[in-house]
Amino acid sequence: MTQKLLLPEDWLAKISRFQVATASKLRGQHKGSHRSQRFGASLDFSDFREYHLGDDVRQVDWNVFARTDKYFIKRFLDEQEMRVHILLDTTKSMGDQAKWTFTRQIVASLGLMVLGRDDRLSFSFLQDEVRPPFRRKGAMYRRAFLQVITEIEQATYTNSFAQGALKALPKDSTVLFIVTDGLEPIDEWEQLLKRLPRFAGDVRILQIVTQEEIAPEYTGDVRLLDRETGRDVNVTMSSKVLDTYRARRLLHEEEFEAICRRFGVRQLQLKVEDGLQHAIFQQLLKAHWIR
Amino acid sequence: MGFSQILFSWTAIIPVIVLLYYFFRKKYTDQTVSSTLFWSEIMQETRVSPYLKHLQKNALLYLQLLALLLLVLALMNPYVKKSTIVGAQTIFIVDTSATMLAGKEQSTFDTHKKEMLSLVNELDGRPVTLITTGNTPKAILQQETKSKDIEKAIQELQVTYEAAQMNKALDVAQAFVGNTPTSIYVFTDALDKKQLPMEKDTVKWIVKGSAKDLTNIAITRFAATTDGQSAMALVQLQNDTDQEQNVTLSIENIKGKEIVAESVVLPPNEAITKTFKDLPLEDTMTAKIDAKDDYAVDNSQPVLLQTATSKVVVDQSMHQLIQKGLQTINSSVKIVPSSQVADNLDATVVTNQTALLEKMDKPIVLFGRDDVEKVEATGEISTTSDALFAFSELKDIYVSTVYPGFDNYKTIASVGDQPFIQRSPKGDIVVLADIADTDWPLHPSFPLFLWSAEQELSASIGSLGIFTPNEQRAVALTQGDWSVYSQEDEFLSSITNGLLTAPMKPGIYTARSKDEEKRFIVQLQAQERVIEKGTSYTLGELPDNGKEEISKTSFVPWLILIILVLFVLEWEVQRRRGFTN
Repeated sequence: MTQKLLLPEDWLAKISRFQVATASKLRGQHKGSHRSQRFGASLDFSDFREYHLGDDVRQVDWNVFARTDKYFIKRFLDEQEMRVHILLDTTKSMGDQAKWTFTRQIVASLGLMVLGRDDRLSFSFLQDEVRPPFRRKGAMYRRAFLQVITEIEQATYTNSFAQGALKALPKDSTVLFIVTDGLEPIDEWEQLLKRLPRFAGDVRILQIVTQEEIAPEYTGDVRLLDRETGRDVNVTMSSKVLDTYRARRLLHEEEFEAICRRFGVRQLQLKVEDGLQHAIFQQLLKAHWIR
Repeated sequence: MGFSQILFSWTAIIPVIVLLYYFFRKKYTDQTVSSTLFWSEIMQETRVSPYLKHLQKNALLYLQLLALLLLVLALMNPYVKKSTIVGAQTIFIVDTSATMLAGKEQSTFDTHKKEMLSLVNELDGRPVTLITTGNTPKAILQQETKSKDIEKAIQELQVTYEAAQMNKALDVAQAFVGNTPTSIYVFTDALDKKQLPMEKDTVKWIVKGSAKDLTNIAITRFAATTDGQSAMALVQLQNDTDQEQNVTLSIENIKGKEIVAESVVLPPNEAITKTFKDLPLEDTMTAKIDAKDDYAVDNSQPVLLQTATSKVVVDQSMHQLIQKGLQTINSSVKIVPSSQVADNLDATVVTNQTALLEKMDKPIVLFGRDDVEKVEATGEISTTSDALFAFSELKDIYVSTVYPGFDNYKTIASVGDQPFIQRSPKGDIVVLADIADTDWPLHPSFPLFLWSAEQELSASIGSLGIFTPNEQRAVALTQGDWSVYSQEDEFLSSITNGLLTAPMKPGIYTARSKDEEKRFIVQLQAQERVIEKGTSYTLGELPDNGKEEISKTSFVPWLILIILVLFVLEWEVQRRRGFTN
């Protein structure tokens, strides 16, 4: 039942057309469905090479020998698997209903895309107790993955995301997706991003924002309660205050982009109000994150 | 039960303000946001020092503490003692003599006036009596309580140039004291403690004198006489300072033109006499010195010269010595038989016929009387400081018999306690003894006395004589309307009933009628030419009475006002913090 609420039924079909596109060469040990430029043992012919002492005799191409009287080895493309890790930000700031649903939908979609291509998917999110992350390969586990996603009902992590993220990341992923809202001080993001190249070659951050965050429209005297820390700020709304806030928010966005660029992290901002379809079929596609 | 400070009911507006604060407080709606990271950043105030932040956080506590401390202070009822005037009423005795004009930057009179005005501010409604000194002390204000009137009267006070005559003023003041505790302020230059009447113990005397170090160089005497062709002048200068002074003495005529000038060196604390001969004939002359002292009024003095030669008529029955004496001083002395004396109307008559005192229009000199018997006289001669004795001191004169004196005449010399020489209100000079009964002619003061008398009386031909400031005297004037004009031809007053009231300021004045004009001069009296060293002291104490409470000013109303303001501030802080409900 809950599955129905999270993603529409026909979504699976639509999603399976896409796969994650990456230029990262980091590949896993196991056989997968991605052709690699390395030479390995697959059925796809790649290249001829002269025979040297010590090469496998079974790889000698006898047709070529017959024609040229020289020994050549056939070489085949390797097929490797891609390891994708999705890290979900479960700090309380993500707890806004619309935002949370949208985030889970995105995560689910990405995960389904990965699994559909027989790649290894690992998924983790911040939690207080340490549990082994979800690591599966193959299209069989699509439903299971969906189940896992649906089960995370609330975002309840109370500590800082940047500090907790490092504990939840596996080593050696091909692509790392971080799904967050970015509402942390830039310094903490910097600390996190500095250490990420160790974990993955291709790091991508999906920033989920709401219209309310970017350009709020409150009026009157408002007491704003922070979802994450519980602090409150009494604000008397006026156009001047709103403008100041928007400017500050814009500044934060710019700083975030700058720091991502500095560390070679790709960043994309997804607005909840735009909808899931727009986010995937247009934004992600246009940014060449999926193809 | 009543309210003593009902005016403070306007502070009821303060609770009303607080009530308005409560009803119009800000009501905040709650809104959950993902993060207040940026909101708190933009709402944050500028960087402040940690102490200010601490103060801001605990603002309510500190405001309350301050308000409570001030309440404690207010309960202790702090006050300041404002007024220094004791007693239930105050009397100001102001010396308006000429010496009050002395002073360094400000005359003593002005200094006293300022002090009086400042004292008036401390009065708090107590009655004030203001008495000025002079020949007849005047009570300008009597038990006045309105401060505006008091201030106006003080501002209008003026120096009258008369002699101080403190005793008369003190007596008048006594009359106002009664039984109430009084503080009497005497504003003068110097007053001897012995002169203060200390009979009453409800009186506190505060004497404010002049500054102690005032210097004075004065012209003490100036006399001029003429022998028909030229004039001679005698000037006496007094240096009251401790340093040698160099002054220029100049004599000017009526138009201000300098007749003669001489530089004089005055040794300290001494008097120097200078004579001038062969001066041109003028009817008045003014002697001036250009001394830089603290008292300028006595640096110039006018004198009258009679240009018309005076005629003296001596009764034949007078003693030979009188005739001889007069002849030496005045060439035009006529000896007339007794019966014809009365016919000489425009000359000075010297006689012993008492009846002529009434009959003659002009003042006469009477030597002895012919209407009463003489009596034995014993005792020493004593004189008052009359102008007649300026050059002739009567000392060691033996008088054996005197005639009884006239009752309403002023005695200017007496033998023992009997009058010897008298002056009538009309100006007659009466010597109440036959010359043969005295040994006066053997003394040099006799011809000098005759000369002074003759000078005085004959001066009235062309001039009306010498007056002291504000003196009222009968003058021998013909019928008509006479008016007094100053040296600058300014109309001052008119003469009524033959009584001339001399103006206040010393100088040369003219009395004019339709066809005649006569001069007279107003001179400072001798005691006004010397300034005494200033003294200030207090005598007498008043018992403390409950009236002291009035002069305390309490701070309590101000403190309570501050406390109320603090309460309002607390509500403002509360409003910003947000109310709990």
